[in-house]
Amino acid sequence: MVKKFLSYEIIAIIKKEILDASRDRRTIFAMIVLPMIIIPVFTVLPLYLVSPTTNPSTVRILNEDTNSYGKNLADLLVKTEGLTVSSATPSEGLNLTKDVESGKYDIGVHIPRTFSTQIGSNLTAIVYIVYDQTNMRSSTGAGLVMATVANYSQSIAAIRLTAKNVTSSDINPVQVAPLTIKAVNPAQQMASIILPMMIVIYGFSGGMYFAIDITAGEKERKTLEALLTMPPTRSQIVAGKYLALVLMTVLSTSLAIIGVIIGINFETELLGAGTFTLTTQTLAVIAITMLLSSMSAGALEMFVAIFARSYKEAQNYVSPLMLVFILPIYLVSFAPASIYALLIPVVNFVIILQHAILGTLTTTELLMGLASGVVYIVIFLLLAIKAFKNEKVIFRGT
Amino acid sequence: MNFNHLEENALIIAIDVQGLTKFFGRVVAVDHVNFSVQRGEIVGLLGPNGAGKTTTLRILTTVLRPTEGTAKVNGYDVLKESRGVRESIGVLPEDAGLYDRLTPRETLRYYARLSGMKNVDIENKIDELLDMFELKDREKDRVSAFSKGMRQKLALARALIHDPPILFLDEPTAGLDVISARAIRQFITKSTEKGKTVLLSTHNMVEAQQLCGRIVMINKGRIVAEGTIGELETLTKERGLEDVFVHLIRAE
Repeated sequence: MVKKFLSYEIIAIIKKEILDASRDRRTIFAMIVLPMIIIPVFTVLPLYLVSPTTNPSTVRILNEDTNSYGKNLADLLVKTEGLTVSSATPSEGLNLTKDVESGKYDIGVHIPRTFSTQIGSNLTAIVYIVYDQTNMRSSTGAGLVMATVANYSQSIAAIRLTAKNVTSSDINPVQVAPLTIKAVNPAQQMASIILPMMIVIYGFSGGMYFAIDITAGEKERKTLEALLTMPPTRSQIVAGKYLALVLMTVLSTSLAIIGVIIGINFETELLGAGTFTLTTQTLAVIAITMLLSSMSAGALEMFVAIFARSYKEAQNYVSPLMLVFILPIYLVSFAPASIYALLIPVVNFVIILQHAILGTLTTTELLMGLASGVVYIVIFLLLAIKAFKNEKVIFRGT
Repeated sequence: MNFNHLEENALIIAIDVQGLTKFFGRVVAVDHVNFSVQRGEIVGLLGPNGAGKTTTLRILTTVLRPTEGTAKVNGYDVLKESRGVRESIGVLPEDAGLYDRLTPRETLRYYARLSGMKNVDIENKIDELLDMFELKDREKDRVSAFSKGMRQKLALARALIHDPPILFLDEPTAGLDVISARAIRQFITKSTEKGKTVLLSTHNMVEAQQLCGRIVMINKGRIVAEGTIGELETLTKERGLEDVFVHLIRAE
């Protein structure tokens, strides 16, 4: 049956379209280079640059306190992971604000002369921290400094409370004991948000240039008329072009997804939030959903692009459709969960993917979402074939 | 070529057009056109710009559907048996319409496969056509690097790849230099020697006079005269196809 459907004409069209596209720089960039290099680089690079592990913030400490409390705090800061600390003496006449402003150091810490005296007198001692909120590394480092100071403050508070015979239950009368039904690590959580979005958006944008090239591009280059005089029927021509488009989009989306998974794992590892792996079952669900998502996007793109007379005109028609794909992703996040949401195009794929990654996907959800996806593919494809058979569309403006 | 499907008169008539009409909205592009082309003939379809020549060719090549009337090509109805028509024809459209990113061999291989040719025959046929149109030494170059003459030759080779009995040629020498135009005209003449039927749409009166056994003159979608050049000269009392053309078009 497959052999009967994939007639020699359809196979010839698939081969030609892929060969033709492989020589088009624009298509290769959008489908191969972008997902393989740019997406992982742009996902990982920003975090890599600000990660305390790979790129610690530099701290200059000016400790004017000659007693133990000031020295202990300075020692704790030196031991804090993610900070490279250098100490200065008051005789150096330092200006911490200037140092941070000039970018010489990311953070300046000033422990005043009265620090130990005030703590010893049961008062509140002040530590001054200078940092640049517009600088990511400075802000991240300042967060680490503040956390260390807060821990130090708590340890002193505990000593003060013990001295006054106050126990921890006196100041913490109620405590929360969280019990989660499904444990999800941060990497998995992050993947459940990013992966569905990437699969759906890339399923659309990955094949966009290719879809335009094989429809409006063919019209613009005047190659369509010669093709229409050849034996294959219009349905076979659409089928050949469509299958080539789906193959290329799936390849492109797969590359993007691999790039994103590497990116997410790298990011969460940098943040110390662990990595995530996908089970064979989840991978199968992702693969099927990705295929259907690419198929529905491809059919819709071909249907719309065939109306255009030129590549540029088609871009004007197809690009705004991206919103149709992005909007439902946000709806899924805010709208109350309902089984009927699985009947909405794009939303169906996003829900299946999110639940599959989080391990909460039910068989009903899977079947309902995939079935509605197939229905939309058939509708879009029939519309594309109808448009291709319509001479007013094919010869529009000629 | 299998002729078993043909009715008796289709053994003689390659193209048969009866009452062919095409409307684009309210505009009539082809208006009750009747003509026929016998097998082995070269017939010129002549007319000014917008006369309906290209629309007629597009209907006969199944790219457009007629609004009224019938047309048979190689015995196949353009509406009901469009695939049979397409298997019987080779078409050179007004724009060569070639894929710039493919080489000539890849181009011809693609159309050969679309025509259902067997793999064993394809490469031999491509070699033969590349030789015939003197494109062999450029077979590895992409079409984007080709001159207009070379593109036109390749488009013609494409029309011939599956050895069709009927050729539709729309302005085959338009914009070509003398040498390329001459090569293509020589080829058209040779084609009829091999029994092929050619319907040629052209603005070039010298070319039409040189190649066509018969002329179908069309203006504003209607046929204004039809016959051999001698018959048209007698009808209009003019000498030469150009004067005949001007006479007939002005008379409209």
